[in-house]
Amino acid sequence: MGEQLDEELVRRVQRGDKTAFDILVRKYQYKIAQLINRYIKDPHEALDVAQESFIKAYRALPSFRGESAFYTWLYRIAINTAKNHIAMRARRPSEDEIEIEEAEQFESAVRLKDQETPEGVVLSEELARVIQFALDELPEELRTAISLREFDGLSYDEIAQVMNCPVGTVRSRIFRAREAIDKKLKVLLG
Amino acid sequence: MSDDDLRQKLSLLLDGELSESDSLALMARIESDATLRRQWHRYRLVSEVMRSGKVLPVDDRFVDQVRATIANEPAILAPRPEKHRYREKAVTAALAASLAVVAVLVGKSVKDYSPVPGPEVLAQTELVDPDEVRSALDPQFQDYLVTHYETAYLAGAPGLLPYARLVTYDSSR
Repeated sequence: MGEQLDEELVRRVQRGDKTAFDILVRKYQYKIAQLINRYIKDPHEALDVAQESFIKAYRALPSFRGESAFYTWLYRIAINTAKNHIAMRARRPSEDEIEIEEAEQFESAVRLKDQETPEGVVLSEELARVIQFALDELPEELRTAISLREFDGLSYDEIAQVMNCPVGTVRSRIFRAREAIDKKLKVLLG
Repeated sequence: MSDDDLRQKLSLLLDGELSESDSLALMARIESDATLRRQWHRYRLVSEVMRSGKVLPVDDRFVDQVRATIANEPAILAPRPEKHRYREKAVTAALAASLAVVAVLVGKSVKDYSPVPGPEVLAQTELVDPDEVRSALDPQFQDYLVTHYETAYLAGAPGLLPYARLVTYDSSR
């Protein structure tokens, strides 16, 4: 999804179309959430900060002149929001209702909060296991196509060159691979 | 369009391989079609897990909560129209061009400058060396002037310049 599409969506938001901003949020929510999760390991907190980043971006959009790509701009806002959140959290120990006797342990408590949460780890591991299982079951040409796309980040044209087949075939193979993985995932996610 | 075609387009959208107009239409449809939205989420989830090995699951509530917050925000003011930006760029370019011309002219005049006056000089002041003037005066006349300066005031006859000091002549004594 290219920058031109983002530019069009940004123009629509700047003309007062809030639904265009919903589309931008849906488009980048995963990327921004993963990005913030690198700084803030607690999943609930990370999602709150990700939402805050989008809201800040919306408020700043009138001053966005398109001198950089929308995602680059949003990325900077998200990083700053995450860093500010961490700094504020460090300055407000009283919010965690720490007793005086526990004060010495506060630093380690904050560090503990930054570790991977068990539920996040379990879900990621389970998803990764199901996806790997689905990949292993794929016919080789589908597995190669989706791997070149997702692991190596190649474009369809590049994959067509590597696999020596038309771009239309690449489209079809990647779609069929996704459908096969999705079938397994639906069972896991219910 | 069949469901199969729609999902294939979703796959293309995820990879940025769909045209801009088709992308916009499909994204608008995702917003209004819950089944398509769930499919989109699963595709994204698989993509993120494959790329990074781990994922922070994001569901519909994420967009809903952002939407609810900005619903209370004032409408965004549109930026200045494009034509104003073009005008700004044109003015900037004109200023830059003017400065360049001035720089070239100044540079040229500095390059062409010569301390030797050309034939167009109409008048010129001749500088006279004060030592030459001093040596041209008769020493007796100089003594007379100094003596006159020192005594005329006492005699009640103010000199020509009673309050002036004849430094030049005095220093030459």
